[in-house]
Amino acid sequence: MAKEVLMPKLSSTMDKGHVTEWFKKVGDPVKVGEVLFEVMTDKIAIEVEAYDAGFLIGRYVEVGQVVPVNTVIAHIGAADEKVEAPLIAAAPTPSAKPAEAAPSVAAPVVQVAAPVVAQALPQDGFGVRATPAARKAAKERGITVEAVYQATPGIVRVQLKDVEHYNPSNVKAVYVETGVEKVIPWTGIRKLIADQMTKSHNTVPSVTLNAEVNVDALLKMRAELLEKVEKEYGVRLTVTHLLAYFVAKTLKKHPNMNARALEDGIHVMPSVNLGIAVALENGLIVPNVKNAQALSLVELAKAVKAQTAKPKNNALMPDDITGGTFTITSLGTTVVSDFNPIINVPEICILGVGRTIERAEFDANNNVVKVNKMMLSLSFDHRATDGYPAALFLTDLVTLIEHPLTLLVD
Amino acid sequence: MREITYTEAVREALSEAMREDENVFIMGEDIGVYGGAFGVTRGMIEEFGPERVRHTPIAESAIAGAAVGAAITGMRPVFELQFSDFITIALDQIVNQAAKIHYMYGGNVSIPLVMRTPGGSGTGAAAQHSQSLENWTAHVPGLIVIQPSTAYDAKGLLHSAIANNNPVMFYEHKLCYRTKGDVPEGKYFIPIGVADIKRQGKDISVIATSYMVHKALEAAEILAKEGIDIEVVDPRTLVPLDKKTIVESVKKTGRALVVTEAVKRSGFSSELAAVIVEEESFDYLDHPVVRLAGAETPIPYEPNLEKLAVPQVNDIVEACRKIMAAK
Amino acid sequence: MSEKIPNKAHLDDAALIEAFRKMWLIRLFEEKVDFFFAKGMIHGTTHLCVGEEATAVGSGSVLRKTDWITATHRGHGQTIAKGTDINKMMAELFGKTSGTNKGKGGSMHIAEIETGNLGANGVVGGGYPIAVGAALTAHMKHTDQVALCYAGDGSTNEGSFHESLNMASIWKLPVIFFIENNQYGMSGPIKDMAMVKDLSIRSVAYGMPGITIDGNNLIEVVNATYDAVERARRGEGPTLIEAKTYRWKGHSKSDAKKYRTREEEEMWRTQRDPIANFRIELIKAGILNDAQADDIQAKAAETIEAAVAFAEAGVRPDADQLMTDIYAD
Repeated sequence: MAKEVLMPKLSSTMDKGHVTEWFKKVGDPVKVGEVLFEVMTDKIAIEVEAYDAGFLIGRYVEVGQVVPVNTVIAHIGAADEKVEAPLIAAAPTPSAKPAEAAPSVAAPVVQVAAPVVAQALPQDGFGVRATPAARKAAKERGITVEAVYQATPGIVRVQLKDVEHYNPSNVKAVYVETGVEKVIPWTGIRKLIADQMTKSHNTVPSVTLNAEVNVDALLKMRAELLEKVEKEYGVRLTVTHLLAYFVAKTLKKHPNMNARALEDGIHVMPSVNLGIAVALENGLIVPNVKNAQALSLVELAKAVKAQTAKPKNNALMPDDITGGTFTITSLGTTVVSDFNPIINVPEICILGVGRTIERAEFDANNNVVKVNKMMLSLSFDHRATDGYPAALFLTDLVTLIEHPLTLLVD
Repeated sequence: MREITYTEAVREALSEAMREDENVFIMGEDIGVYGGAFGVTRGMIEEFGPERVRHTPIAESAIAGAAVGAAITGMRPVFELQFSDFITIALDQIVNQAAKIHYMYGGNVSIPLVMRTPGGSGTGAAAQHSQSLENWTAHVPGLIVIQPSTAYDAKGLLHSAIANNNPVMFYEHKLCYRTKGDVPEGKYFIPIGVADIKRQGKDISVIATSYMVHKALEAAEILAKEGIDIEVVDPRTLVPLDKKTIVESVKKTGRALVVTEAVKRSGFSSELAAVIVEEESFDYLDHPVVRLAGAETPIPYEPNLEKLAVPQVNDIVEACRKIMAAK
Repeated sequence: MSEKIPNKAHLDDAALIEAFRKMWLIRLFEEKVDFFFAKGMIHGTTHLCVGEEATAVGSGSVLRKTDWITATHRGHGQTIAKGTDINKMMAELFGKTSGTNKGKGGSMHIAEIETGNLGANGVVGGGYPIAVGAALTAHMKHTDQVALCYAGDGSTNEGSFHESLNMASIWKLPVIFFIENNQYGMSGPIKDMAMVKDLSIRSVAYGMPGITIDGNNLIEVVNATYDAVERARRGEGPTLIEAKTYRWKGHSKSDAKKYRTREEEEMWRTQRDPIANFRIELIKAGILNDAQADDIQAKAAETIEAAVAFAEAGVRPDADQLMTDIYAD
């Protein structure tokens, strides 16, 4: 295998050099340590020794030819070895004497129009300035002075010659915003969200676990309870209400998931203060239901309904949005299947709810049945807990949702 | 054709007119044996005698007014104001009398007089002897105002002025006096109110008056070497102004540079610029109208300052370059 | 030819009667103008010479038709005396195209070149150089025409007065500088505006004769003017005449005359009325009797009425007349 001989970097400031003398020609034997060539650096001429033994099977630069450092200038290999000559990058040849001054004949002006990037139209309310002659000529040609202006960067006022030289094909299409830009400042709820999300994203090593859950039972349960609960308790049960109930129950069995990661440690909280993310016109907010684990389904449903109504009615109090221990955020009414919800710090978990779709599955008898599947995405703070306990929690939650009658057992 | 100076051309016109019509006579300070402050009337008193070459006292109001009275009653006086600055003393007779009598009297009488006077700077005569005030009389209806730049134009226009039945203000320029040109012998007339294109060009219409015509022509030579080809338009008559020639020139070039020695503010350059933008030439303008004119200052005494106060050849060159390089 | 009132100009009785008639024409013309102006039928302003009839007529009667005058802004009397058409004068004041100036000049610029009236002047002292110029023409053309320059006392302080007297004097031009000293400029009493008691003394500065006369004595005016005119015709040069007189009315219509006393005015009206005094003189000399004198006055009034009728019958200029006659052909 042929060995490369490179233009060496012989000083910290050297970036190119030229061979002032070759001591071997192609075909000559080369021993390790033998002087192969002399190089003129940016300072002095230095003799360069061969690192390899063999034959000089390729020599690619002439004496005086300036090349960048690390250019392959020769190969050493076996006598009969064939090797492809590399492409030598050009570097300007320093001439010994100054080149003769070219005779001062003005080169004929060749109108080679370099492609131009269009210039933006003036934004001062007046628009493009153009001389009367230019406007007249433009009108005659059926073009606008605006087009000419954009196609002729650097001009201040469109003149006749600009119209005459107008070449639209020369212009790199540049997107020109015609609409009005709107600026929403970093204030208010947007700032809150931005700060919160950034903090969460930057400080929490978050992992998301996705699971599909068969919600046939859940939906059946809802259907059965719906009318009665509404009539007797005045609240219309939703899937979210049921999920919240199941989450609260599951958290009782996995108390370490109901925690807040604070400076001094992981605070495992006694109560489940369950936050439900509410989408607003220009942001989102997470009011929470305190002590969710102690509430009956109806109580929880009512509390969730009340809390989630507060943002829209401007009725939120600080207590409603502080002290949360677990958040549910649902995109279930959209096409989103699963996602990576950002943890609502300092909580350590957040449950994202995706869409429910009908799937075809094999049942126990290998029959194809239609089932309703909902996606759950559980993000957890990997500082405070780990994949396995999180997965266990998720498993218990899924199991509970799929077998709601087990609620009667505990 | 022989070459004579502007001074000689003026003298020839006066002399030829006086030889032909005994009603023509000249009046002014020191125009007799002294030959006039600028030598224009040298030798004339010897030919025509003291009655027709009237050496007046220093009394501009009486000189101008006597010219009015003589003109009303059948004479054709040509009076000289030694420096155009002294028009201030004669102004009532010129503005309130000469300019208006024909109109006020219902066209019943004419005032065929000519006022000749040298204006302009460049001789170190300082503030009260160096002004260009032709716009004052250009402003007054009833007066004809002529400002010839060359010997040829001066003679032909002076003949026309003397022959005209209206009061004519004939502005010479001190520095024009020694310029030379080909001038025909004998009487010839250049029509009043007709401009002259002193140099054909295609890039910029340089409309210049009086001595500025000469500077513009010098600038033209310099600019030609750089590939800038200017057209020099000399209105020759300020009132009535040959708008057509000016407009046609600007239509051709699309660029106008007005060059006058008079102070820019409210000077005749303003009238020229206004004409260009209010006439047909407006649509052909490919650059705003530019004016080079006198600085808004009394003319200083010191020679370098004196030069700085009015447009010079280099100013015209630079202005033209800037116009052509505009983006 | 009877010359019951001797005078240097040899004006005979008929000529003196004519002078009397002319004075009445002027008086009645001015009063009529005053009346119409008060009614708003005459535009602008008027400067009436009521009380100064003798200066105008006395000097005018000595001049030939081919002689010239330049008149002042208070020049109706001067122009009537020179022979300018009264009908056309009235028409001019009414702004009609049938006026002396085709309605374009007005009171202060009334001119009739054909009868030697080179025009009234709105600029005080504006006429001096023009009269000098006309005299220059006569001089250069070797005619024996003269130019008589009417001027007021205030104008003798203008530069043009001095320049013109000097120029006329050095060139010995046939011009008469006739100062109607009615004691006031606009409101400035001449005694406050000049340090000399008699303005005629200013002639000394210019090496020409000067004379002060009673401007309200027609014969005195005739005599002084005649001397000056003859001197001029002989080529001996200009003369300065100062005719002391008084204007009865204010400078112009808008003059409340606060600068003089009622007593002064009364004195001049009752004791120094040039027409009344000349009438006495004519009757005394037996040239006229009362009835005839009255008749002349009545006929003069008729002439004025005819002038008014002429003026009223005239037309105003069309809009297109605005831009005509700015330049001569």
